[in-house]
Amino acid sequence: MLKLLRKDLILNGKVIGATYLFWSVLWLGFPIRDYGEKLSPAMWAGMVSVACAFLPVMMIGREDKFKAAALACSLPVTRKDIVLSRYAGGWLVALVAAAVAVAAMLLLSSWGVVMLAGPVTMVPVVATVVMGIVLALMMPLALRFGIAGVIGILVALQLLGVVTLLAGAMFGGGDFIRVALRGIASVVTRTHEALGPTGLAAASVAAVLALNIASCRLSILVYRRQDF
Amino acid sequence: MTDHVIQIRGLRKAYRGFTLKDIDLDIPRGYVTGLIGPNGAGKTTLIKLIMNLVRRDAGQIKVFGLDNLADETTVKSRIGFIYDEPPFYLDATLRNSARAIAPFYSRWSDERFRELAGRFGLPLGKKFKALSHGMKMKFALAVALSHDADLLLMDEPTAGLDLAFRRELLDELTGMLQDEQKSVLFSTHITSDLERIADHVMYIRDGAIVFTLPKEELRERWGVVRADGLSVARLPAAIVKGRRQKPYGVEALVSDAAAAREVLGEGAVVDRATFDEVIVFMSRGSDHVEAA
Repeated sequence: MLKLLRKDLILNGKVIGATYLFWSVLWLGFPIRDYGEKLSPAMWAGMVSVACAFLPVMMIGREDKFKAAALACSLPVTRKDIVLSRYAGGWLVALVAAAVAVAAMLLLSSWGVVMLAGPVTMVPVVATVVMGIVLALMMPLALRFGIAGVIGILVALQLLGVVTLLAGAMFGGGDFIRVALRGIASVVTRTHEALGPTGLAAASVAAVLALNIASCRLSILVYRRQDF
Repeated sequence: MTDHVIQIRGLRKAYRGFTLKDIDLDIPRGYVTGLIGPNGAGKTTLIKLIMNLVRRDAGQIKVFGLDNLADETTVKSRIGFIYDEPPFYLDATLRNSARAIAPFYSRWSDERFRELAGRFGLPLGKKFKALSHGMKMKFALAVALSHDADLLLMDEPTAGLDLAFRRELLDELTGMLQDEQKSVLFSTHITSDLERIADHVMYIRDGAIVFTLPKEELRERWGVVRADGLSVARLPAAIVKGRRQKPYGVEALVSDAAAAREVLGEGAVVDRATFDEVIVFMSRGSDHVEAA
């Protein structure tokens, strides 16, 4: 698996690095521009994590664009090895990218360039959970359908949002999305009350881990059946 | 040790509109086997099935006596594989592509790769997308030959190459086969390549193997009969592989030229069949009658 990770880093490293630098300007630049307004560290980490989770998805998208998946499959590795390396590499790239971004933000905060509105203790958990959800959702689609799969799920989520808003407006019952978000917040609050902050963090990370294991198994199943 | 580098039994793969039908075949070790057939006959599918790039519906494939799925890693580590369209990252330099691939093969030789790159004139600092088709194939070949593969599997490796490099490639393969344990299976449309290096010829049509024969047998035993229709009709059906109508009579491809001469006597012309003639006749089927 290490050989596959190395291969992906050699063949994608420059592009991923350049994309990351470009995004860094955005996610560090906006809080600096809005100097004086306090920044929620957890909210910011959540948004950055979404972008970081897209870096490994981008790597798979590049492979699809170049029709190079057949190269990996013709090497002396199994399809399962390829999928496992994609998940391991995905987590590695996303975690390192998010950690560097958070470290940069903390540095800016310590210099007084950005003002944070609260403690940063929940940042690692929020980053891990958001990243985990994005990766678990995107990876099977990216592996099976390449770029089209990623675009497909983004379009599907947009459509779902539009349909939900329209349904809320037409049939009453308020904004379904807000209701759903309140429901999630309520579950988080109750878990927090029952388990405490450490318990909530552990439960969240465990849930995301389980989701990724399920996603990985699905990806192996799908990738094994794919023809190149 | 088995005498066959590849053994296939009951292999089946169905697509919409095309089925590779219950293939049984043995590819001898230490020889070059050329796979020929019309477009869409199943050549690429067969090669991809051996590499597990497409999923089979039924059957078994053994390479080096090992199951190509159960022992996939071992099997692939001993195969040098060349696609008709090499699937390398377009924006990666040749040097980086080779650097990424090398660790997968325990017998990879940097020295050998550099030697081949120099011989083929490969610009290692250039990106793959900047290369012509011929140079892309040369790079794929350099990679495939740098890890001392026991079997080279090549899908149309000479398509789009200039004559000089085709010769160079074929000579390279001939040189590789000095070691009698090495084998080559390649598909091609270029019959002169088969004439030049193939030891065995395998003909595939409509997803089925029509014949696998040593090249010499094909060259020495098969023939083209040129005679009138009545004479050709006297030939045993089993040896007539194809017919076509010509202004002067009928041409028939026969798998036993000596038997045809015996039946027809002095009145008929029986020439040796060229590979081109075999392919033209076979691709139309034994019942085909071509108008003049």
